[in-house]
Amino acid sequence: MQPLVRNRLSNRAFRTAPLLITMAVSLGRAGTAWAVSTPFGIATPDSSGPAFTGPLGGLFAWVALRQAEFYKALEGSLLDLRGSNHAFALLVGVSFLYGVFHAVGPGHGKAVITSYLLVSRQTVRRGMVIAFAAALMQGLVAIAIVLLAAVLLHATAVQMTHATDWFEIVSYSLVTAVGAWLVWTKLFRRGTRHASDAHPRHHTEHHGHAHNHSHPHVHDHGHEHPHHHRGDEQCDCGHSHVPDPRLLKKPLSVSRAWAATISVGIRPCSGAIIILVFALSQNLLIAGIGSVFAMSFGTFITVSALATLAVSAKDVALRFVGLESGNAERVMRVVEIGGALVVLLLGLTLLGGALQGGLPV
Amino acid sequence: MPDNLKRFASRGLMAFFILLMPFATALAHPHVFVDAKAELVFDGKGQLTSIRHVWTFDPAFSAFATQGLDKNHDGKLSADELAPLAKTNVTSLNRYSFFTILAIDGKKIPLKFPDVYFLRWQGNHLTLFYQLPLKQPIAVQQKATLEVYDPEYFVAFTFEKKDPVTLFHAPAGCHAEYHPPKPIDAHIMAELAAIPIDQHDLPAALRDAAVGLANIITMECSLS
Repeated sequence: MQPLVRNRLSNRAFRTAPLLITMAVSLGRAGTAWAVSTPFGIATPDSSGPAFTGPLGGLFAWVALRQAEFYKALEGSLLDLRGSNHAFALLVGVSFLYGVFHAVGPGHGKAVITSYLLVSRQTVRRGMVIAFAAALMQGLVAIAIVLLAAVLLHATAVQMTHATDWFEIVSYSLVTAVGAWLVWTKLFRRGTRHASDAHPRHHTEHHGHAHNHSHPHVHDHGHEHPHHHRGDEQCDCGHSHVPDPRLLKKPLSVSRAWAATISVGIRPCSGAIIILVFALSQNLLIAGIGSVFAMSFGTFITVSALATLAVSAKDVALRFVGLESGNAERVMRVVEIGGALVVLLLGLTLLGGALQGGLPV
Repeated sequence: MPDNLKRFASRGLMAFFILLMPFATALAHPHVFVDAKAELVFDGKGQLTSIRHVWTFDPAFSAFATQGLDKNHDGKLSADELAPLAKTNVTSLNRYSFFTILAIDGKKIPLKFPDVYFLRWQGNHLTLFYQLPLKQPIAVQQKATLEVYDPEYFVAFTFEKKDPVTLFHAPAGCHAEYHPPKPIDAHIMAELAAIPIDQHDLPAALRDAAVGLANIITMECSLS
């Protein structure tokens, strides 16, 4: 590594250290409250710690009460299903509303998705695709667990809870990995950009950067005129800040989007599993599956709305700062490093909380 | 943009992310609904010895809890088939202090691990019965308060309309009353909104009222 680069790195690390420490402390304090266990030994809560505090406590309490009402209504409409055929429409409607309200409050899935979108400079449309895939996956995982564990293996609630706890650990590990990946690219890989101006060989490493330089034409021409390759690369380096739409199809960017999606989607909601097992016990498994899909769709609506809000807010903020100036770039960098750290520390905290009681056996 | 403004902007953003952190944990929401009954048990000498809980779960959680427990596939859940789950339930509840807070004459009273516990299946409901002995039996001079609720709101407790609380062998002159949780209203929301951000510890009463969680049973004794 060149001395100049090392200077930049240590300088950056030095500047971000206070931020890191503050975040770690604030998380550490919350961390003990996040240790998840479960009151009846079955069905792990999605959250832990005192319920509704802070400035939005009243609002969240209200949301939670509505959510509880929809859950009870959902339960009721499943029971009514045997009596009438119209009840299915009601069940789907109530499930959808439950999904919408379920996603309104804070949650790590939303934090990961919105942070990921901001950090990777994704478009609103990409955000909606990720939100949809994550919500759908969450429903599918719940259905798969119940089909496999309850229908095929006749597992008990305790065994199913252990299984979902494992999914939770995988989810939190993935969140941590995505966070680490984002922090790595944002904090350190960025520093090599200037070095690579002088060393075009490093160029290929940049494909993963959200802040990537687009030069599809290099590749198109590359095979026909290999001897031009080097020159083209050099002229493209380090100044194109507008991501090419085709860049979204780049393998690294796509695999990171998948990782973010899976990290959120792989963790099934206790509510979906309980409702599915309940439906199964009433011989209404198909209706239960319909209900879970409706829930997923409701979740998608809320999460995509939040993601759109986050991406638009960032755009507005950037316009406010002034796109022309170098400040926009600086502000973006703070947003991105902050967001990447949020994902990493969130993953670590959730993982620590989930593992505090030991591994589920 | 001037330097100080720049610094202000970046600090603001960092503060924003730090503030975001506590919100990243999921919003509490219930997946277990309990219809409860409480019984206060006295010995013959006027001392309160234990609290009995009768908790009936909602149909969905009941179905989930008993999934795969009908080992002989006779369509019924016997006491034997339910016994391991009952043990799991009380062992887990221990970490949550059984969602039970007992205070007598203004003093918090420690409770022991349940000496009796079992589950019964009825209709499409599962019911958990268990008895929490007091560490030391104690006479109630004036007032006993029993609170039952989950501050994390994973379990939503309500008490049954008919006979929410029963007294066993209580001294003459004692009577108990059930006070349901208060539903949240606009007034409480406004009160909560008025609390400054830096005040992390809400007054407990206000928080519980806001959430509408706390079921409170009071028992007053007038010694004649």
